[in-house]
Amino acid sequence: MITALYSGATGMTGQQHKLDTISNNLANTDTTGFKRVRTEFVDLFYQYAQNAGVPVLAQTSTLPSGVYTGLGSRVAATSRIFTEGNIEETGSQLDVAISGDGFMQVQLQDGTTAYTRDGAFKLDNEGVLVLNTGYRIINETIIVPTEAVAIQFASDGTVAAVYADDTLEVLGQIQLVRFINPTGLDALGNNLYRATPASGEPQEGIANQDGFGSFVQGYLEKSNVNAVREMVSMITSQRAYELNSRSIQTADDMLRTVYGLKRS
Amino acid sequence: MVRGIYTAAMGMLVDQAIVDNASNNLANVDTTGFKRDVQAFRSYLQHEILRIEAKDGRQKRTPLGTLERGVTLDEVRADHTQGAMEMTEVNTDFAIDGDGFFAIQKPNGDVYYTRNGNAKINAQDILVNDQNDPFLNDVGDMIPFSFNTVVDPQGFILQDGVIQGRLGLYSFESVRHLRKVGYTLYQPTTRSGEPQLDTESRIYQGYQEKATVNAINEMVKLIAAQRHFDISQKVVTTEDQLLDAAVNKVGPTR
Repeated sequence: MITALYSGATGMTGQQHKLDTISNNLANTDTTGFKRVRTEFVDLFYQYAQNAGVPVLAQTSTLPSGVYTGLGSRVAATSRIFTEGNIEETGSQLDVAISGDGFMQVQLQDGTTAYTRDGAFKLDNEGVLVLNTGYRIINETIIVPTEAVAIQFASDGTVAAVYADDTLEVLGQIQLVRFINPTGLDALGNNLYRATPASGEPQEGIANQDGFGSFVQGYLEKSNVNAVREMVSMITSQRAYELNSRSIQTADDMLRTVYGLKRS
Repeated sequence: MVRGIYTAAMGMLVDQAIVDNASNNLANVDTTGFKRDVQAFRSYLQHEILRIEAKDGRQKRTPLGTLERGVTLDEVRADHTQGAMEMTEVNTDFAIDGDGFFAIQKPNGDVYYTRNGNAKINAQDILVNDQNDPFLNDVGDMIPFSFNTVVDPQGFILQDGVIQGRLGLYSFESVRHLRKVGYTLYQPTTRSGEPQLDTESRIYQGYQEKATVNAINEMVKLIAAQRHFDISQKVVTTEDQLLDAAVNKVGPTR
């Protein structure tokens, strides 16, 4: 009966969704390569009781203005913001940050490809270079010999072993891919993303060339979550939630008043 | 005497409309480019009150003033004042400073206008909104866009320093007659006039325009409307009591 009840509810639902997103962003403040997510709202439909510009009875003039009621808001999109996070020095020779555009490709258990910017590498029991979660770089199995004393990542993704006598042996090269619309990537968790029709096909390339980013050894890319921004959003979101609950309460009180209209 | 009941009831209906409007505004406090709706009311069935007295064997009519017999919602329109700018640092966010609107083309070819500049790049490299409907440039074409495309304050689109066109901004003779269709889109009407290319407004890349909803304003409206609703209810019940007295006490048919 009173649309305020329902439009208030749409506002509360939307703000709840926004708070969920903010909490997830804050929970990932320290996640390597994490990209923050933003909630975007649009207004819902409008109910027109009277359209502007329709002729009035005598056909001599038209109505100057309309009468309508808005029906609330809705969440239009949660979009991931792919700006670069801070590059932090870790001192570990197996940590690599991508400075600029690009993702590394890894192979999942089911054989499909996922993409990541998390360059915290480890060595597995066979000496193969793997990511934190144990996934291998696709098309390029880099086995580090046990005799190597150090590993070098060049800015173009070339991985080399350094031996005790200062000689270098190139072990392989990590390729990068780029997407037209990274916002369209599907997040899989574990810092991994999957391509979708919205993200476009991955375009493969060599780091430090054709606009691709470059590898920086001994650094990791932190998340691009800005705690201040998230806290401000959280405050405004909570207040907006409360405001919307007020319109529901008001509508409810008015319905009670309606009930009191008729004396029994 | 009975007409007071209807007058009070009309007031209550208007209060309901105020609450509906305020709650829609409040639901959209976070909607990019949203313009709050304002309502206007007018008195209904106004008529003249005359004093009639006999003078020199004739009737003399002296006007005493007018009496309104109710109130009704006259118009609802969007208040197109400039919203606050919020820095987002996202290169596909655009905010307009001025009277212009972005043009959005729906799949059926219809063009709608919006102040919501939360754009995306789709898989075809085209600048689109959340619903994959393309933004249009100043000649009505789609806009190819990439992650490093720059839009200057005048709307010129620069790819690697080369001008690729201009983001289309359109203004209307009478913005208040644009029709809201939801999804932050507006549709031109006969009274709003045809869209005119707007070269005065400025575009800010990496910013978004916040909703023009003022929370304090809307809360005050909610409180005032609710209290007025309660008072009007009292008027209705009082009128009812008077009728009760008239029917059951003054003239009971025993």
